[in-house]
Amino acid sequence: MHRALAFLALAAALAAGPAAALTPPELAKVVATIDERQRNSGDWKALCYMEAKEKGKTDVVYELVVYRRDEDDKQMFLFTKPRAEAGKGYLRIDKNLWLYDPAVGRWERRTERERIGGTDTRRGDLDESRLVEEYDAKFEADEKLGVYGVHRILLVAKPGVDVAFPQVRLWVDQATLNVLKRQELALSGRLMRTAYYPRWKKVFSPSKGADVWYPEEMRLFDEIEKGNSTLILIKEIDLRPLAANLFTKAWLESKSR
Amino acid sequence: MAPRRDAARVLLRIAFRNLLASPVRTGILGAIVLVGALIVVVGSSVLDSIDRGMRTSIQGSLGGHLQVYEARSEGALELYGGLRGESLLEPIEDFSKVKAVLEQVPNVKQVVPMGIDQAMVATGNAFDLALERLRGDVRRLEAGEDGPELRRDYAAHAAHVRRMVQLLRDEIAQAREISDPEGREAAERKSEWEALQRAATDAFWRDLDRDRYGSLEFLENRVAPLAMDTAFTFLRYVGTDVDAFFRAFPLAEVVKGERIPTGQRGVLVGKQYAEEWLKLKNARRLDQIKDARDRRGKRIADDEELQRWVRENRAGIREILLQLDPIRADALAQELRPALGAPAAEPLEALLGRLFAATDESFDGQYRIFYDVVAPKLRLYQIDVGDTITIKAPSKSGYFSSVNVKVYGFLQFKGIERSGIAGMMSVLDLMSFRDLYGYLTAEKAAEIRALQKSMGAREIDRERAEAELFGAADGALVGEARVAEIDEGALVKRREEERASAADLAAHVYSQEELEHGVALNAALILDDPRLLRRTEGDVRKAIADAGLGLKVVDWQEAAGLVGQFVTLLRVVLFTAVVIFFAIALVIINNAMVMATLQRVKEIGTMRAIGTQRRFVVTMLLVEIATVGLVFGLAGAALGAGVVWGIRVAGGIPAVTDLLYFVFSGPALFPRLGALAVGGSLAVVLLVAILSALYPALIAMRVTPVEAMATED
Amino acid sequence: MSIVSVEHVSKDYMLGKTVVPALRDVSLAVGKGEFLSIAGPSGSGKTTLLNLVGCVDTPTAGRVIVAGQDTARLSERALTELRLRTIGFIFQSFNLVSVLSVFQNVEFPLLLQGGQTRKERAERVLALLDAVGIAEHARHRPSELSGGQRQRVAIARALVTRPALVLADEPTANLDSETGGNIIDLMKEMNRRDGTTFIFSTHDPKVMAHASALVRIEDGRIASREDLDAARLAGGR
Ligand SMILES: Nc1ncnc2c1ncn2[C@@H]1O[C@H](COP(=O)(O)OP(=O)(O)OP(=O)(O)O)[C@@H](O)[C@H]1O
Ligand SMILES: [Mg+2]
Repeated sequence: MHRALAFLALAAALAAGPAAALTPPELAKVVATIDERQRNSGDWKALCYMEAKEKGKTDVVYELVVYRRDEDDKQMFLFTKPRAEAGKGYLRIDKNLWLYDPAVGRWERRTERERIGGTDTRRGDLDESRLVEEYDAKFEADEKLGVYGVHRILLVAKPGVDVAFPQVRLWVDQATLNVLKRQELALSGRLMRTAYYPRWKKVFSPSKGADVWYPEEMRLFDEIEKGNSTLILIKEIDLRPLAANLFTKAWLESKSR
Repeated sequence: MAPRRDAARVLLRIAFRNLLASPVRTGILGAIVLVGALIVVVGSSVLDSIDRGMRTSIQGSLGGHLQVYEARSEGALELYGGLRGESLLEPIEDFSKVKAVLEQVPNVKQVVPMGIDQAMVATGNAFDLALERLRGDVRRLEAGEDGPELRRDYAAHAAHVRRMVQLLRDEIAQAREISDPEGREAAERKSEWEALQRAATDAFWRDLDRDRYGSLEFLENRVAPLAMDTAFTFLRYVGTDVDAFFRAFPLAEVVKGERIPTGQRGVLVGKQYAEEWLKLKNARRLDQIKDARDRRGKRIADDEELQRWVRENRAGIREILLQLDPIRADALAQELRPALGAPAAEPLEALLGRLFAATDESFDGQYRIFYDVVAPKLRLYQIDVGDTITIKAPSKSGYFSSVNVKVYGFLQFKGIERSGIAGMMSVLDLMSFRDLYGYLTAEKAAEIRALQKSMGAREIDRERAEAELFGAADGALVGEARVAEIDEGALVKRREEERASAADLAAHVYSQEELEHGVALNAALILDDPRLLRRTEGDVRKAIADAGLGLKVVDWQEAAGLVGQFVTLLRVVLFTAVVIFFAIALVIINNAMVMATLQRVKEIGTMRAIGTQRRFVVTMLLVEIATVGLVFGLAGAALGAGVVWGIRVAGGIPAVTDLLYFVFSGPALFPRLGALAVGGSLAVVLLVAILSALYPALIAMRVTPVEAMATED
Repeated sequence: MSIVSVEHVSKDYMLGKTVVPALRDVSLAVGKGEFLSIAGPSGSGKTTLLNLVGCVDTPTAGRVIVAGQDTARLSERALTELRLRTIGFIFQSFNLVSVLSVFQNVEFPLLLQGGQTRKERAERVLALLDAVGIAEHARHRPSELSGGQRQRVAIARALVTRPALVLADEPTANLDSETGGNIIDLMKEMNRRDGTTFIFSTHDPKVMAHASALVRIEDGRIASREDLDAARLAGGR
């Protein structure tokens, strides 16, 4: 009985064809699912690789560890490679972003919009997904991205919310509901950055009691400075609880001492 | 010979008498010639003096006589910066090689390595700085240190922060009354306000010792951001061998503090830069008002700018209050009351308000009180002698690099102290410069390549990204991962020898060898005899070619870039003005002479009829105009000399802008009359006069004796 | 032996595209010491003829020989030199150099010639000014003199270089008849004193009466030539 119903539903969906738009509740569900799948209720630690290419310049590459404690809205980056960069780090607490350089032993207050390590990465790229909280969604179209059927969705920042980009356009895989492509636009509608997420991984999180999804590969293309691009690879994930005092200046200082 | 002389005499006589016979015409022509000569004399005297001033400024401050830099550089060397920021230079990888070759060139006295760049210096907002000091104490306490002095510092620093919190709360309380945000923003403001309220409570400070780090983090992240001050500034510096620099540039002097000790790291901050960008705004404005009153004869009562400064000073009191911890604030209030004749209970803020409410009558007294009583209790410069500052720059390898350097002193260039062009420049030791420059060594490049390879990063083409990433349903889209255990402790561990602490670096004394074996961006050449500049330039070129150094050689003027072109620009402007003037003069003189010739056709015909040769007639006309040229040209030149003298007596042409200060090489330009200017002006006016008489002379020559016969009506 | 010899001279002027024949095949010989008057109606060619003789214009055809030199063969410079040394000019409108004094105007040709000391020049100039009766005005400017006085200065200037030939185109036309008479008398006196040849044109029959010979021109041709001295002598006897 259940099976039959499911089959009927699927058949109906197929019959409706690509023209079938998402209804508002469906749309809301899609967006909520994107957030939910990436959410991890506990701490999060990832070993990442970051590579920035700029026209006419040598590549800037890093290996870094990214720490997240989403419930406190805290984040930390600790650079581990290359050697000269090892021990540098960013610490974010609420809207404060601090940069630490062990060579000079000082903390420097940076803006939230900081280009991390001089690359095109923003701290938000490695943060929790909060689309529902920050944006209003609007369905645009169902279409193809390569061989994949996708929903194209436009997100507009909710009034009074401070986000890096006031408009975001997403291409969401219809089959898996993973975001495959993301355009970030200025208030004027000008395209600022395009991101691709070609590989998604899931990992079981004990604290969430379910799978947590993360993009293993992110490719960010600067649309203003054409030719500049950044690649982020998440190499390893560690979901063990982090030390309570980890998101403090003292902890980061101790790591490079 | 005799007949010639007789003819010449009568020719002169007729020419002179013709001039006297039509005084209006002669007067007009004379006036034109006179003004022309005047312009040329004054203009070229001023220009020559500017040229000399520039030479002094550029050669004495950074330029030397010649400069060399890597020939493959994308941009040209611009010592004082160009329109698009700093010069794009390829590095000279090993300066010592350059020095070894160029020092052998005859007439080259000295080769000074340089690297000019700009970098950010974090100054922190006042709040952050106060918290940083407090954190320093906490760090020591938490590490187990203790003692009465540390305790005293800790208490004073905490009291200071607390006072800042109070000031900030008062300020924000006022702002809250004005604005009334809604929704999400309101919620944010509310939480900010709560944080501020909490930081202002007695309980918070009583419990400070219970969780020192926690309290600090709270203050740093929840309270300090509300202060919203600027937190950094840009420093323009020349990285150099400091001893060699001072030997090469005799105008450079340390006005406060001392020179960077030989071989050590450090910075000498440009005095003028410190005045304009680092000084406490209120103090700076007082200086400016004083300068305007003393040097420019302005009065607060009738100058809007001065009034604005006075107003801004009253608004800037907060900045002073923020600097003072409660103890010093009390002490200051106590000293200020009698000095200002204020009632016993008047609080500091009101006292400062009184101090900065200047009028023309009270200003000088208030200025003195500020510097005698208030200034000693304040930090007058955001970066001061004795501080250690952190300079941060995007390095050539793409990474940011930071260095800590001690500020040994303030630097200025004699004679051009106030120039914003030379005075903005700071001097940095060469080693620190190299660290900031971050030249990508082969070793570093290899490390980066290895890292890239180990990560298996694949580059894809932007245009074909979608096809490559999503073109095939290969199942790569989703996958499963296993949790790992990441040990950052092992990852961060650095090699022992690389862990030279900031303190070690500051104490290290580098040998001359270390200084010279390494990267520089350009080098200044000082010559024994600057007059042989051109020849030496050729020799240097040859030496570079012979040694295969691949360097470009430019003279000081070219190296100065835009600034150096200023004189050229002035020359072009003057030249154009003179050309236009004389073109007009040519037309006017020509017309006047044509008319005069036509009026005299009959007379000329008569002279021709009774036996005057054509040559005589032409000469007569030329003598006529040449006389005007000579007499009035001399008068104009004399007048010009008078003007030049007058300018000198009146105190010179004041340098009203930074650029002028620099090109004048001082606060005013004293033009000097050049023999060349006078001779040149005479030559020019004579030439123009004679040129403009050529056509009328042709007309006169064509007059036939028959014209004499014509009967007049 | 004639000082001026005009041989089959024609002179055409171009007035736009039409040719105006001013002189047609004129031949005339003037002997040394003559006081020759050229008469004829307006437009008959008197001035044209004098200009050719005075070397300030060149003939369309024929030869003009002055003091034995064929003017057609001389360069512009040589012609100027010839005018300076051999010919004196008296103009209808006096043509003095306005910025020079009377003395200096007269001295001017001497200075151009050169070769004399200042003293020699001064003596010569003053003698002439005396002769034309204007010595007391030596320091004045021409503009301060009357027409007759100016013409006297012009005569002095024409004679100062002791030219062989003096040409005067209607020297009295701008003067009242009494003054004109005086001027002719003066010219005549000079002619008599130095033997200088004078050729002058005039419309005035009274003036013609002083001439030693009278050439009448009509329509560019010489209509007649009368030897008045001979007639006078004949009549006087
Ligand atoms: N420069 C000239 N161009 C054209 N025609 C001329 C020129 N000079 C003279 N003529 C013409 O040649 C003719 C002779 O002129 P010319 O001046 O010799 O006469 P004239 O006898 O001197 O007359 P007047 O008594 O009026 O002075 C006249 O028809 C005159 O119009
Ligand atoms: Mg005539």
